[in-house]
Amino acid sequence: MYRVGSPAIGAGTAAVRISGAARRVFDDQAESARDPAYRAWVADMVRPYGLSLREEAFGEGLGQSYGHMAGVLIAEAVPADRPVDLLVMAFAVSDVMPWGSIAPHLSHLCPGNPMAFAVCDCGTVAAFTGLRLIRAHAVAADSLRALLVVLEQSAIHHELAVPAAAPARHAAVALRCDQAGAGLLDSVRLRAGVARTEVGRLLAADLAELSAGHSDVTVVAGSGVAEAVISAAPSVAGEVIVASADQPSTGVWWEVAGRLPGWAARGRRVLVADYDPLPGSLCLAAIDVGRSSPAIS
Amino acid sequence: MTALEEVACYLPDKRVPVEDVTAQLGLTSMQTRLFRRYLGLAEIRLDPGGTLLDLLSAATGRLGGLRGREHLVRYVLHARVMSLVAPYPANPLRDLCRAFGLGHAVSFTVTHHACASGLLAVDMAGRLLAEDGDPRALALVLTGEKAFTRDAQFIPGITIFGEAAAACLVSLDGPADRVLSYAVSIRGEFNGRLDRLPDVASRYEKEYPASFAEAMSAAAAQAGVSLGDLSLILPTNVNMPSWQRQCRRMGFPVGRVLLDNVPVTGHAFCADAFINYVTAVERGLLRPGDRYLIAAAGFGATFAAMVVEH
Repeated sequence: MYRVGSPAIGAGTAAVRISGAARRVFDDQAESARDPAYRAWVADMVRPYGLSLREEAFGEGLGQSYGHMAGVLIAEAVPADRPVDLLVMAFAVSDVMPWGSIAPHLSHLCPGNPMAFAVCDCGTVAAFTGLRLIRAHAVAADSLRALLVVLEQSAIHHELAVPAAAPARHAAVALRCDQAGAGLLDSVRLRAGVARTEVGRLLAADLAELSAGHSDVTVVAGSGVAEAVISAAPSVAGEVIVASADQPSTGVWWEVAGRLPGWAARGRRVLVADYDPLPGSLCLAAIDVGRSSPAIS
Repeated sequence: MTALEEVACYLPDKRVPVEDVTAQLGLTSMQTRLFRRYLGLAEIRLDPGGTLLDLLSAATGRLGGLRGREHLVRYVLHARVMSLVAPYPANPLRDLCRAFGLGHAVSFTVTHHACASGLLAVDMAGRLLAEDGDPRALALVLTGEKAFTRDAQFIPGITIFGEAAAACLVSLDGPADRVLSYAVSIRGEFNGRLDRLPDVASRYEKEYPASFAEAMSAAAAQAGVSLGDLSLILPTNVNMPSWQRQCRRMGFPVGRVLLDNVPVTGHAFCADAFINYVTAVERGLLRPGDRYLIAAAGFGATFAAMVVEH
């Protein structure tokens, strides 16, 4: 049972540290992609929009279930002797089991039977929203142990409503957060309603501010901000890593998950940035990965 | 402390007799009688020509306290039963933000607590505002969905979904309704299509009353009150007998559960509790200082309760 009182204003910000990560690409497809109930759901949904179904995607049974994908990562990132209290799923593209409440199912699978929910409809930057929510929950918690699972599956069974970045493979990344761990989540900035023409200026200012005083900066840029980050790079001492455009939601976190142990060994100030032009969301996270912090699992 | 500063709701004018809805769904006359005579559903609110954006906009437009204060809104949350309601990347929530001068606000949908997602969103909005620390800042929590596909139109033998919406302005303090506690029990062993899992459905039905009662008791205890201290329970409008049974089990007078909307709205997804709040205020059922409980159970399964002081 999760039970809380009302949060108090000015309670401050609790330390949230990324203590471990897992990532995985899935080449198989979920059985539910062939479920007639799924096809009926999508057909009814697109009808008012006048969009066509992608019959070939139904015919080939393409698509994955986030319950399956997240379940695999939970088994890797949450051992039985290190349970979590909070599990946040974040995605932009839905999976092929839209009738379910997957988060409770994952809570059942996950050591700690955590409070669990999902966030979506914030574009490909959903993971930043998830991290922001983990921070907000950490304020009231005595000890925060949380897991963020960022998910995307590549089968979209209808014409796109408007042109948009779409994943090219099924991929998932899990970030484990604790009060101890190598990566101190120093800042999560969410900006909404940002026009494409404003991105360069805002990003350059944010990067300059967040990297000030640091000579060991790595910027991980999503494909939506790659150009702007590279333009701003001269003012930021350090390296720039551009995430794959094939993974619009998981790309930057895929890089973070893969590189965390290396960064921990030498110590880095890591700035993660991405932009989705459709909701106009510009997001940035600053993570201090310290040399002397406990090792990443 | 999280406060419900203002709640507004929108009920479409169209009231469809339950017999018409079940006929459209191809249900038998016996199933129809079950819905009307046993479950207590007589009319379902539907908005056949309207979109999700229309539904949510109608509720948001009724929030008098939003006008002129749009710049103070930092977050817009849509609490939803269904995660997939629009073709990618269409985003009716973002469209609403733009239409109401809230383009600057961070917006997202919170889901997977099924019909209990509304309480989750209120708690979450309060936590986001509290961490930001600006006492003037606001969040907007929206509820309401379209019954656009068969799976979203009814649950056999339990309820029929209606289309309605609610908008709730959340702040950190003030003279409004103050949230005292929030409790939720997550029982993921009951997730899945229960129409295809009769054993799981049977266990869910058996364990539902105790799990729901436990969540309500936990919220009351966290708020420092007993169930008997509550002046009112604002329920989900699933059906009548489930609440009558629940009350018998908890020893709580069914007359203090606001069931008046069950026969005339249908189950409006996560919006029920907020619609019932508006009814309670309109009828003068809440006096200043009264503590009441909002309760919601969601398939999947989630049992949630929130104690609020009026």
